[in-house]
Amino acid sequence: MSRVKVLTLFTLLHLASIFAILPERIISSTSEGHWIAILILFLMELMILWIYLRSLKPFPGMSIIDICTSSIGVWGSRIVILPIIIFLSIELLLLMYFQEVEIKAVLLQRTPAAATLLLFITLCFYAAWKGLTVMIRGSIALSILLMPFIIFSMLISFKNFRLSYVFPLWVSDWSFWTQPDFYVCIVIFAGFLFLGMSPSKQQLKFSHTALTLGIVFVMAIGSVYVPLLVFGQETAVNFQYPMLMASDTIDLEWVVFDWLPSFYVVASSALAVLKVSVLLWMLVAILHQLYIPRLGKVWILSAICLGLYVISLLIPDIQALDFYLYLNSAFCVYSVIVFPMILFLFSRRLRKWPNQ
Amino acid sequence: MKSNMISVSILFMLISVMLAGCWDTRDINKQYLPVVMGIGKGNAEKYRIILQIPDASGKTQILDKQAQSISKAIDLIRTDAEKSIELVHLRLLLIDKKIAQQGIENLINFAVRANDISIKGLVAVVDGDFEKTMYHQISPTPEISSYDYFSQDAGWTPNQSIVRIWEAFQSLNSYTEDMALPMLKNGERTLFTFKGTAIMRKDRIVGTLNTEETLLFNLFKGKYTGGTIEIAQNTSVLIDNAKIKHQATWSEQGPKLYTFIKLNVFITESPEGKSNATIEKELQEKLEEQFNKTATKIQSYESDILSVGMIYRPYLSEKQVKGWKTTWFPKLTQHINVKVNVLNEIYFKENVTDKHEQGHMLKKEAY
Repeated sequence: MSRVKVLTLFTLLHLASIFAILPERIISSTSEGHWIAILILFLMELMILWIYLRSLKPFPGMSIIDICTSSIGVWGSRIVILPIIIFLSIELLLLMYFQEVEIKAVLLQRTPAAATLLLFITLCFYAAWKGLTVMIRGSIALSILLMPFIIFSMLISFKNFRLSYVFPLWVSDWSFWTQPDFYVCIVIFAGFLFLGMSPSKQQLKFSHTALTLGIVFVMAIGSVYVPLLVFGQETAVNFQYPMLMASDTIDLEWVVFDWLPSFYVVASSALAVLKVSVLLWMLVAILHQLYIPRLGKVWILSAICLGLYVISLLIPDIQALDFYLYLNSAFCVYSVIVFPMILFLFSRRLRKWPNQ
Repeated sequence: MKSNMISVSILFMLISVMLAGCWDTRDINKQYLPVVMGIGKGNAEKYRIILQIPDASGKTQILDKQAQSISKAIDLIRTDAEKSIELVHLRLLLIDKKIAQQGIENLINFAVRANDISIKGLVAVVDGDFEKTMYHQISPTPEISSYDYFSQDAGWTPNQSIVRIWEAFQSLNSYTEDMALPMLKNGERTLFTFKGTAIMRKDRIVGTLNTEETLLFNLFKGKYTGGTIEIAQNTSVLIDNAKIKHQATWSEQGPKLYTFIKLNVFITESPEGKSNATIEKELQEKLEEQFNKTATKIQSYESDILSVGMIYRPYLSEKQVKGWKTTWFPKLTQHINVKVNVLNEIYFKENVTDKHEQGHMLKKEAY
């Protein structure tokens, strides 16, 4: 696995959550100076990424689970990793359901959710079954296929940009700290967790990863500011899918582009498939290694997929998920902020007393 | 061998899952695809919805129902129609002036919310007999659609204003802008006649602009391609391009806006002996007067259709932006300066000097 491939997957995983939630949540969490909120998020991620890579560095060939078990034993790591399991499970469900709702709203209005979800989960099952190497290879193919579309659908609306909507540039009351929507955005960090799950001899350099994160940051700024510049804060705050609406404002008479949002939905669905697969794979790997080692990986995977499918069929409507969304942001904060710090402590202890 | 068979059959089962995409589709020949939706006032009911559906032979089919809500009326049309009705190709929303005077907010919200209506569709007001306009048809030329009337790639001229559904929705929500909807009625030989522009405050009509004022309005907003201005009898110019600069100042007494509009024009018609300098001067004076008159008129309706608020947005805090329409816009003092530059007279030279003298020389030669 070369570094470039891993970093491609890293980028795409971030993009998946950026397109799924970032524009909507940032626009509803603050009404001015959106770039500050995004910058704070990314600086936080940069810091944690440094800690995360730093704690993995002394142990090539070891995954985060190995580091945990060798420093506090199996039972200790089971407890430490339990919130991550909860986070991953809820996140999988949310991702899948939200994507299904978006597909239903834009592409397949009459198709029952059961059919789209089945197809969605089958794809994810296959990818997670084949493992990380396949997903990484797939992500290269996806990025070649999708990136032009994503960038195109972002930039095409520049014709409708109105620069006055950028203002006010500075935040005057900093109230976004108190908004739950801001914390929901932390879920985009989940894109780096997989780095510690694949034991590899070749380790990522922080500088390269930081550079990739920089590219992701530009895309994140773009995803928020495109709808903002087209509609303005007071209008964009009404939309469930601001990016989608922004790409729908373009009127090109060429037939192919008549329904530009469908490009966007296809691209973001493909990214969601990738993200769900990677999270599934992580969940299975953790469960298999820590909790139920006797059961084969495929069986765990099948059970999870079946469970996800059944639960998402039982969800009555999208409001029912709001509670879980906010609940999950607490687990998310643990998984992507607290856990890397704990890992850092373990890693330092392990370096001092390697035989303990 | 056996495992191979199993994997092949699993593969086929998976492919059948792909059929999810074709679930419950309706063939295109089993669909009506309306292009124009008219929303009028019903006799007994609140709304009257008229859908215009073009067919392959170049004729237009018209479906008409009344109900208390728009979706109910569409539903009633669906009930009676032989085919299913899909609004995906709806391109023009015509609203009766009587409805527009009472507020169009729920219409626009309906159009944005309905996920089969594209938010790119255009909005216009019918000023005249609503029924007659909706049922008006011209001798069939299949490629003419009412949508072309507004399309900037087809029949649009700066005399008309255009507003899309998403722009209308934006203006309804915006703190710093109002919308100006085009007004139409049925034409004699054409589908529509342009009647002017409706000045909207929030969601209802408060006043109107005529065609010339609409041209100025569009010019102010930077949409000018191909506009013709008539200065006096026999004199008119074509706008080549326009540069618009705003000088905005802000004080507690209220905003002050100076706008400098520099027009580059071609002369298309002019009586003999009128020099370019005279035309420039006349045009300048005339436009400046008209511009300022129009701006004052618009301001008197307390409707910011010129989007002056957007110009001020960089200078304002969020609180001031929210109070723009109520507090600051009425206090605005606005002045528009116009400068005209005649580029050329296309195929004619200026100063071909004194035909009289030329004649004289000819005479001399003759002797």
